[in-house]
Amino acid sequence: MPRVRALTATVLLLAASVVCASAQAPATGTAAGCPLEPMKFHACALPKMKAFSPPRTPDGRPDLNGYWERAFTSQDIEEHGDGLGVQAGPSLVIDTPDRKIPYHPAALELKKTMAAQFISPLAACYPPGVPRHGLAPASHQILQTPGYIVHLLEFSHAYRIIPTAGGPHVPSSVRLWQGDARGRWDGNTLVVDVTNSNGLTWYDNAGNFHSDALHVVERFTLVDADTIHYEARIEDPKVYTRPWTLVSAFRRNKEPGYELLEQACYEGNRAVEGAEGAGLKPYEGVTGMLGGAR
Amino acid sequence: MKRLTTVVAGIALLWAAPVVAHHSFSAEFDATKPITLKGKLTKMEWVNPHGWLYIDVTQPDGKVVNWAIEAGSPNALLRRGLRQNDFPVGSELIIDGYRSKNGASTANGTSVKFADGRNFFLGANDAAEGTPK
Repeated sequence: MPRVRALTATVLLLAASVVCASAQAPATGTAAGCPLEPMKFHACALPKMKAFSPPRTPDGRPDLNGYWERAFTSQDIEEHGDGLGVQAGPSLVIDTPDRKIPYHPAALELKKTMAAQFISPLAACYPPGVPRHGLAPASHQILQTPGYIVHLLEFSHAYRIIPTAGGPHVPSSVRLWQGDARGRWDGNTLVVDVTNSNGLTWYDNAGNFHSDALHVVERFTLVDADTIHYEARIEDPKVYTRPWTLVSAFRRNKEPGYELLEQACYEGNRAVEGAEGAGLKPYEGVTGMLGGAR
Repeated sequence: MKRLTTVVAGIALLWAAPVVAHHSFSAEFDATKPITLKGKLTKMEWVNPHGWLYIDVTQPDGKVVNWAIEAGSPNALLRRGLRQNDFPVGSELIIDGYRSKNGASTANGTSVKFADGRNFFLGANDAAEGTPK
């Protein structure tokens, strides 16, 4: 065997101090002329939403059809700095004094170690749940028909089919990754009531969590033809001291010929192996860790 | 014939780019251990949710170690202009990334440089692709 010639391979370990990936904020620029900081965006978008007369579908509803990109990611829905694989970003929480999630004390303690203990459900390619469906990676598409909104997400082929004629939720014995969604139109706003969570999803990669008592009321409203204001009011008395609200936005992807691509998420997912190798366990909800909450 | 190249460890500005993925890297990889790997591609797995590159890296002591480098999702790589056939076995690659915490020959990739000088962001980035056009 020829001796090491040609070679070239050199391992270079840089004794650098912490190098953080980026100083860029995940959301840059503006949406509908509003700054992309959730609280400022919310305040700025509200009057515009009231004044805007949206394009309509043939059945007279605001037309949400199209490809959309989320303005904020689900790395950490609370304010956070740069880290490995994480860009600094603002809190999406708009209505608590410190803009943090109002966890019960025991839940807050659990949250501190959640991401270090368990494999993120999204890393394991599970459906993102709600409201993470609106914050999860890759492109979104909304398809609207009379009576239904279909919200497709490229990641993991996750989808939601939201009936817009309301109706009762499925029995509480039915527990679902994406929850049971019942939509209705409130003026120009699509309001979606979501219950029946299986309690096995997180909001982000930072381990911010809920239980199976999660109740989400989402509001999708066009601010202009290319921007959706997205709001989720969240209740879960097993985990939080009070209801709270997060705000994000979708911006229209206008790239000609754009389409969602296949993303068969679980192809021997080595990320799970790696996480297991790092000592993380599968997430099975908060049953037993929070006095009976799943 | 190429010569064994020696790389002087020194101050190097690592390629920095937004890296946002569907899972957290911090439990598995160490932000304090950036690494530059240079070697021949032995395998490219163009798979979800993250692609993997395997390269044979010859260490300064002559020992050849096969490293596994986690990359972005195939769709993310595709939208950056990369294709599966950009990675023929035997390609000489220079890859920047971060080492795993457990000491295995595994890294989370941030950039890949080809022998022809092409340089691509390799990481899992779902933010940049998401920029509305």
